[in-house]
Amino acid sequence: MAMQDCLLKVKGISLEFSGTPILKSVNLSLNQGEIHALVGENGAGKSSLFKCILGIISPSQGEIIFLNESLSGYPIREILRKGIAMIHQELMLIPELTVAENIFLGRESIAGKRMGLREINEATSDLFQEYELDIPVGAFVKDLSIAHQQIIEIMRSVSQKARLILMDEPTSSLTEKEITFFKQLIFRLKSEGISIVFTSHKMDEVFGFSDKISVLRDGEMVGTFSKEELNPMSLVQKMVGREMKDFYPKALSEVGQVILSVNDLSCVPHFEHVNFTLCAGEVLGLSGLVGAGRSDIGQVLFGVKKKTSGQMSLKGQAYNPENPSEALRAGLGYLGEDRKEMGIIPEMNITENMSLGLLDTYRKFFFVDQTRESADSIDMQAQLSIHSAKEGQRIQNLSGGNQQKVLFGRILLNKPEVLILDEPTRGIDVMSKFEIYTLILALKKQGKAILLISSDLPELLAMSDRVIVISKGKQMAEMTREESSPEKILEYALH
Amino acid sequence: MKELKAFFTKSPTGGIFLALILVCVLFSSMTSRFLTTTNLSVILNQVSVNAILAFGVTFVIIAGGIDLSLGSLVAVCGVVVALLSQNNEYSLWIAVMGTLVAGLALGALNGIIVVLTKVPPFIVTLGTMTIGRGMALILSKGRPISDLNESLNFLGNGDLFGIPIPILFLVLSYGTCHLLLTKTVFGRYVKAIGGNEMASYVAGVRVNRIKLYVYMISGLFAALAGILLTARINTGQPNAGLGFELDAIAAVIIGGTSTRGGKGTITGTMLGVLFIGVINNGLDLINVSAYWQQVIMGGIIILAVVLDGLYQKLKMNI
Repeated sequence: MAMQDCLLKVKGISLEFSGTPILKSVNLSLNQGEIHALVGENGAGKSSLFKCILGIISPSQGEIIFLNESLSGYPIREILRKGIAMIHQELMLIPELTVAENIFLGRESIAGKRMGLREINEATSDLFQEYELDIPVGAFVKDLSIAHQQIIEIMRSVSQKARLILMDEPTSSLTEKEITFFKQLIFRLKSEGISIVFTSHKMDEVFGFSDKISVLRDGEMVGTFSKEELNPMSLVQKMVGREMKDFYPKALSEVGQVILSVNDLSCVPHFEHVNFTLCAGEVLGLSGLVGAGRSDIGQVLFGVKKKTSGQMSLKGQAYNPENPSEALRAGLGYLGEDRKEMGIIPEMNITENMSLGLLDTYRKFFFVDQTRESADSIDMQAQLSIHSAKEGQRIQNLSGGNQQKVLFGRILLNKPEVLILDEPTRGIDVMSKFEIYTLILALKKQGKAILLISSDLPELLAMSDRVIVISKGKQMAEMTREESSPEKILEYALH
Repeated sequence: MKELKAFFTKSPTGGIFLALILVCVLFSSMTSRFLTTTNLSVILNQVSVNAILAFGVTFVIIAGGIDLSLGSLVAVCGVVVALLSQNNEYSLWIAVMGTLVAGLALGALNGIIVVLTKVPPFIVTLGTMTIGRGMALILSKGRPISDLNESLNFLGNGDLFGIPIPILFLVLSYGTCHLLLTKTVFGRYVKAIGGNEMASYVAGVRVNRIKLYVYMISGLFAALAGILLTARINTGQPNAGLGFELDAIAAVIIGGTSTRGGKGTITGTMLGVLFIGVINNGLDLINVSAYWQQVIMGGIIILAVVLDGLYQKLKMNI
């Protein structure tokens, strides 16, 4: 391969985030005019790699070489100017400006020449004509479809003379027809010598669009393959193929009677026609990609979101929580997906965070019975082995694992019968993970019914008695622990 | 000594307390008329209306909201209490209770609009601020209301055991609000929803109800302030209380309450009120012109918050 063909070389990039490795010595190389698919499970490090290339975050080790020049130390603005662009999953356009204004945003004067509205419009029209695009240049971006907005972002990169465009799940919100057009567009870009790296969870796109495929797993680069070397099955195996260590504690317990049953439950547009039952002493796993509607199911059960149709029943009685407070009193406990957003009150201490849901029961006239409150909290802290440096420490200063255990304490103080746990081990250290697995199994043994939502496939498989797979808001499959395998689940989830 | 050091370094109100002492020292060195019992009593009396308003709005700000309608509520309630105390038609008791209920209702109006429409409280209370001013003018027909009961005048200018009545109300309000915020279930909920509204909701807190209550508290204390103001000047003025909301909010912020919600103390607010009051009083005593007083005051408010920010950072490193 001639040297000038190589556009981008990622050399041994490592990235850590508060002690947790995100990327481990990742290598990647890319030629001019190449379309490259980057695949991996959620959390494998795809977005982080993109951010490193673009200079949004700087890696702790390694080097990125673009057109034979190292990019380290350059600010984002410079890197953009050198010809790397990124199309984020959330589009970065200004809805209140026109198409042309968006394309030339921040470049109102080029090479000393001021670009007036007329010049901008003309330049945009020329560009669109060249690419045979039929989008009015004077339209407001807010009036356009998502697909058109995405095209405008891509055209902005093109007009900035980008040589490399990074695309984070570009097709995730496009229809079949729009995807066909998108494919034509990126092949056109390729023919002009522009390189593209994109992420996707869809096998047909990975194999249909790309020249080469790189697989990331747990922050490590499994390898780069030409698409002839792989088939969808072998690719999935490479994505999940981590060795299953004996990390998950095992405890078998009797599964009891049905506690919660869900019949044809829908919450449009998040999910539709979901059916399942949950028994005492059982862990039911809910799998699917992020955004498939898993979290929404948990939120409807806990009264955070409203169902649009269908029935739920709790211990044989119709159950329709108006709000989380009612769900709590009905005997449910809920751990939200995002600890910072839905869990902790950062300025409050451990005890205050723990008792928040139950404060009404600690009421003595108008006052908080602080003696009883802190006694219960200290009990719970010991039970869950929550470590804090000093009494009354604010929760925001605790480690992620300890924060998560405090939130478990909040739920357990209420003595719930049903627990909905959404990503209970996300972003916490290995030791805390193990403690939480042990806790989940202890709760199961006590006869609690547990709905476990997780993106971590090995975790989900090891902990659950049964697994339900959700894809795009639809229930794809239900299988027992014996029937399930990572490959099977991923196949349904990617469907 | 150790406790003292702990207070200044650990307590969130240590910084503003230090600043307050500093300006007191400054003024006493500049004029002998500052540090006298009479003058200190005058200061307390002067700040009582602002303090009572600031206590009420502290709850709103900690809960993550804002109430710009305070000044207008003072005017409406001042007019209401004046109308009810004209010509000895009703007893003082009924006039005061009626006005407090009016304040609660107006606060509830703020709260209901905020909760139901999800419009930012800044906008909602900006609207009710104008509505309130208009209502005060309508109720009073645009004229000051005089010939009020003697007993109302007593609330503004009388004293009990030698302590001016407004100061008694100030102390009482301070105690009530402090207990309410630090010791009650309600106070805990206020801090929780200000700290993280979504997390509180998911934890089972009735967020909307608490939001409604904080605006009602703000309205209630605005009514009390309106009563005291009307009683002091012995007339109901539809134009009273212009800009009072800004003084109250300034005091709350100087007192260390976060504008993003989630944390704050009534003691801090009290110190903030005193800080503003002492500076106003001191500048009067050393004969600074009223025009320059405003310029200086504005500068000091910004400076106080900037210094407090630096002080909090410094504290982290001790």
